[in-house]
Amino acid sequence: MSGHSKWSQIKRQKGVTDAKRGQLFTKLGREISVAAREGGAEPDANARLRLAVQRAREANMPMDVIDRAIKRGSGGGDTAALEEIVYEGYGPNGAAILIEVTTDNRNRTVAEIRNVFTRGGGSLGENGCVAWLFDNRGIISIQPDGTTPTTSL
Amino acid sequence: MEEVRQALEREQVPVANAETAMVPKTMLELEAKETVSVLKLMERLEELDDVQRVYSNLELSEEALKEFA
Repeated sequence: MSGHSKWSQIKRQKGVTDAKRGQLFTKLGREISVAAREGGAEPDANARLRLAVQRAREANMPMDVIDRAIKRGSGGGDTAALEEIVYEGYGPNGAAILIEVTTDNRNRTVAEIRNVFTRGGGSLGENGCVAWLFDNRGIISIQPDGTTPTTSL
Repeated sequence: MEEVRQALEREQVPVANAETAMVPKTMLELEAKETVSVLKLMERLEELDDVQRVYSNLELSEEALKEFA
């Protein structure tokens, strides 16, 4: 549980350099497009899209870029080729690693991922080799405002 | 998930963030050095354009985080 949020914190602390910003927008945009394709272009009726838009805004992605990503997803077109795949593998010392991917070319992607694993001292595993170690869960974080007592769900 | 979020908002509990994530059932604790090598691998995976999210079952110790940062 704690591992996940701590990792997000480091990433935030490390900051996003300008060079990485465009890349981040590409990723966020793809998630928005796929969310819009799967659940419709209306964020109020599409929880996944709303979340994706929220994350994009937190990254200071411009509104018009977000809108374009939504239109791209809901209007068919080139996002039809985007596939969502989960890859699984082991890091050094047997750490389980799960990778969520959105790609238009799975052959290229799998080669890139395998390459990173090999150079980093890990290995790309078969489907299902580490997925059983994880639960897909919703995480809701609450902003304490100091007036309400802490409640647990 | 969505129901919980809406219920919280009705009660005017400020929701900072709502997302779904893959949560490990058991964590793996490694030496700080080993942890750093896994984190570096995860970072390189995240740098790939097609990768959306990377999860691991790694337990992050303060010591390892210091070494990584």
